[in-house]
This record gives sequence, structure tokens and C-alpha cells, in this order.
Amino acid sequence: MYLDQSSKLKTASAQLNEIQSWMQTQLLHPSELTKEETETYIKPSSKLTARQHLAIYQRSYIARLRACMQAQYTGLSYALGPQIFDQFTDFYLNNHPSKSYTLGDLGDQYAHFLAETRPDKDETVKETWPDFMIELAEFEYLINDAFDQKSNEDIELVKTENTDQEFKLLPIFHILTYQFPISVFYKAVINDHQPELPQMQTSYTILLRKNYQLGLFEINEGQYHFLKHFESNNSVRAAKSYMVNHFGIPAKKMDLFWKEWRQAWIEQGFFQVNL
Amino acid sequence: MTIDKLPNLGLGLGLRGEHFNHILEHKPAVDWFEIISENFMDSGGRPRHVLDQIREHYPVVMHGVSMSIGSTDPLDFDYLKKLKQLSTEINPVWISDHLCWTGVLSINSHDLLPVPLNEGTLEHIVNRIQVVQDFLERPLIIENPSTYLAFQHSDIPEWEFLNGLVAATGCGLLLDVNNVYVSAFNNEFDPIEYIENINHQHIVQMHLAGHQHCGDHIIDTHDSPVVDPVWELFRLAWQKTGGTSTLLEWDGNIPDFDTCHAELLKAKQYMNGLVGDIDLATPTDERDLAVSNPIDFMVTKVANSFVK
Repeated sequence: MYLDQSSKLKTASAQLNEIQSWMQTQLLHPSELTKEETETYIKPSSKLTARQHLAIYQRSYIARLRACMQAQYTGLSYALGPQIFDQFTDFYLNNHPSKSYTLGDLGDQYAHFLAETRPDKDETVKETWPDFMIELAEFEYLINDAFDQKSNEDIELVKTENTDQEFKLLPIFHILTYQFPISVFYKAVINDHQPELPQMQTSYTILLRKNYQLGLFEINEGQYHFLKHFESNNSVRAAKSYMVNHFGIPAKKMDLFWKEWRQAWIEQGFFQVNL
Repeated sequence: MTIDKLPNLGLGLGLRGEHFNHILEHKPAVDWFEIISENFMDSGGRPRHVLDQIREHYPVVMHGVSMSIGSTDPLDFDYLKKLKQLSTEINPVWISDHLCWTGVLSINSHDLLPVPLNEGTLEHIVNRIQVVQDFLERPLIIENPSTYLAFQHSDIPEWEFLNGLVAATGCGLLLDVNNVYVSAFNNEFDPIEYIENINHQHIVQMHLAGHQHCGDHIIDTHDSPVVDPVWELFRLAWQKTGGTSTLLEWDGNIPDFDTCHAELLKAKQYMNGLVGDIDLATPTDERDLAVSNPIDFMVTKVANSFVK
């Protein structure tokens, strides 16, 4: 039958689409293929069967993405152990195959996925370890995001002589709280201290980026509330008043706290000059 | 712009995060760097900050892994816009990607998957390269990937397929000499015939890298020195092209900068002299479970970026 150029292209495109759909299915969801099924698409060679040729791609697909997830979730991989982490990852990738041009987005649904699939999801009384894993996953994703986020780093850091009215938080500055000491655990893992899994204990942490480097700082509950209020209102005076009014801290004592915090946080580079 | 306006940049290295500090501090005598485009698109962190400093001193080329030029999915114009935006910002000497597809149905396998080499695929990819070149307003440079299988539906040698792309689109070629060797072993074709017949006038760049020989197949791991047969193929390619920009990729078990640089400079030993009989045999490597295109290629190690 005569085929014009456009029809030929359509036919070729349909064949290419069939091959690519088949191969992608075999990468994402490998199945037991017969020799005949595999050889419909792939040529055997003198050294390998068609299935063995395909298996090279199948093995590389999952190994590459597991390695990527382990690089993005170093703490979680340590906490779960590499084998269980890989099992979770395989399940995750099965449900959330990458749709992004960048591997940087590969784990963007991981914390949500862990929450949705926790084994006690429908139980009234829940275990605590899934909460730890979910919080750790959220934290690690945030770190990855903060590392490469677009931001103006050409800033002037606050010095002791600046007035309180000139204080402004850094452009990348996260005030975090968790049910577990997530940041302490994470730092212990990346510094190769091989920590035990922690008990539940509320933690408060600052994650910031300064001169393209990330910083993690532990703070206490009072400091957390002070900084959260400051973040909303950008006023030291208003944050101090909030602490006095909501937590019953005497004003003079709050002034003393602020004097101490001010110096420490200037040294740690929490603030830029509000120009 | 046509590819004949593109310069011979000399001997370059793939830019990797492990070498950032060394490069900034020592400004080593490397002729140029190649970046992985996707690592710097939408990027505002330290890698991009370092790149901006490096490109003040060195020519930079963009090398992509996600264009998926061979896919039957529609071209991803969000991706292409970001690619073009990056090229506007960093002004690369050229932009390259691979003769491959990375996924269909909007999925990205993050692998450089082989295309069936036939007339239909050729026409499909020609059309897409033309669209991309029009969009980017510059020629696209296409690299031969390392492949681990051949399709029943392939009836054109890869070098002839690439020549067909060149003839129809005017695109440039990035000849990865190691990939020729790897694919030739895995798919049982003659790498010398490949290099002798590919369109030498359109080869803008060459790649060199190490691989892992697993006995009955070879994996393109980029994690070791270049093997002797690949150097000999490089000698042949150098002679055929008359010399062109050459770059060493090292992406797994990355050694210090000086080791990578020394490996690159070995290329000078193969730029002259007669091409003799090429012994294509290499020893088998006993390491297990090699993965092609190691993850270091595409992922930044954030855990190393904290204030000490």
C-alpha cells in the first residue's frame, strides 16, 4: 500500500512510541518476560540474551535513583538502615516516578508519602517512630531546598552598633520546631557520629544560609516564639512586648534576655541590616 | 550561528563540586569547563555562585541530560525555556545533549535510553532538533550515548544515523570516544569503522572517560582512568577531525583535581603519531553492580555545605 510522507512518519512514530512505552514499563515495573517477548524488541548478542541486555538498564534505573534518594536523605537512610530505606524508596518511586528534568526534585513527595503510608495510619493509638521518620524527611528536603534556593546574598550583616530598628532576618532563615531533636540527630549523622535513634523531645532549630553556606543552630522555646513573632512583624520591640504579654515575662527580664540573645545572634549572623 | 564558527577550545574538564574550591583558589591551567546544564537551571545556591566566578576565567559549555530529543513525548518547552534562560545568563560556547530518550508519558527515568536506529526515528529526531535549534537560536550539539542493547527495529549504524541528523539539521556532534568503545563492545559493531565514517567536519567536541568492563558487557561508569584502546581510538578521531575540543568526564570516585587534570593531559600523547593497529581488548574489572552515568553526575552533596 502506498503511504505518503506524513502517514509514514505517523506509522514510524507509533512504532517508536510502542517501543518506548514497552521499555519504560520494563524499567519501572520489571516483569518476567519470555525470550520471545523480549526479542520482539531487543536483539540478543553473542554474549548476552535480549533479557540480559535489558536487565542492565533495569538494574541501573533503580540503583541510580536509590543512590540519589540516599544522597538527599542521608539522615533518614541512616535511621531506617540502608536496606529498609531502599524498600521504602522502591515503593515511593513506584508510586511517584520522577516527572522532573532534575533529580533535585526526586524526593519532593517523600515526607508526604511516608505520612500517607505509615503502618499505623488508621490506628487510634499511633507509634512514635513514624513521626520521627516523617519529620526527618521534611527536614532533609528543606535543607536541600535551602541549599540551592535563589536568594540575594549581597547583604550587610548586622553589627553590635546597629540599632534594633535596623534588624531584619536573613533572606533564607527558617525557624523550625519538631517533636524530636531532628537537627541534632541529622548533624550527628553527617558528622559520622553514628547516633542512636532519639526519644521524643520537642526541639527548636534555626536553618539559615549565609554566603552560600548553610547553618543549623539550636534555640530554646522562648527564643523560638520571639523569633517567630519577629519574623512576622520585623520589630524587636513588638517581639519583646509579645513575650511579655503572652508568657508573663517581666519586661526588665525580657530586656536582659534580649541583650544576651542579641549579641549571640549577631555573632551567629542571624540578621541583616534592614536598608 | 553555524557550527563552523565554533572554536577549538583545547583540553577541558567536566566541572564537579568536589573541585570547586581548588579551581577558585588555584585557577588551574585548564582550557575550559563543561557543566551539566540541569545542575544549574533554577539554581541560586553555591554551585551557581561558583560557576559565575569560574566563567570569568574559563570558557564554559553546557551539557544536558534531560532534553529527551528521541522521546515520543512532546518537547518540554518549560525545560527548554529554562535551558535558554541559563544560556542567556552564562553565555556558553555551545549547548549539547544526547541522542537518547529519557522517558515517555511525562516520566523521566534519568537514564540516557537508546533509540531504535531507523528512518522513522531519524525523521522524528530531525524534526525535533530543528524545533530546538530554532528555539535556542543556536545549533545543538548531539552526543552518541553509551548503549547496552540494540533494537530489532534498528537497521542503520549509529554513525550513519548521526550523519543523517547532521545532514538534515546542520547540528554539531559530540563524539564520545569511550561511548563508541562501550557501545561497540556491548552491541558488537566495529568502533574503528564508526570513527572512520562519522562526519568529522561536524564534530565540535570529543569526550573521554573511564568505564567498567564486566566481562560480557561494559558499563560507562566515568569512575576510572581512560583505557588504552579508548586512547588509541581517540588518536584516530583526533587525526580524522584534525583536532577538536576534547574533554575528560570523571563522575564516580572522583579523585583530586590534579589527578583528573593529569589524566586529561595524557591526551597530548595521542594527538600526534601514526595510527597503527588498535588492540581493542581490555582487562575485565571485577567490581560488582556498576551503574551507568553515576549519580555524582547529577546530584549535589548538600551535607558538605554546612558552616564548620
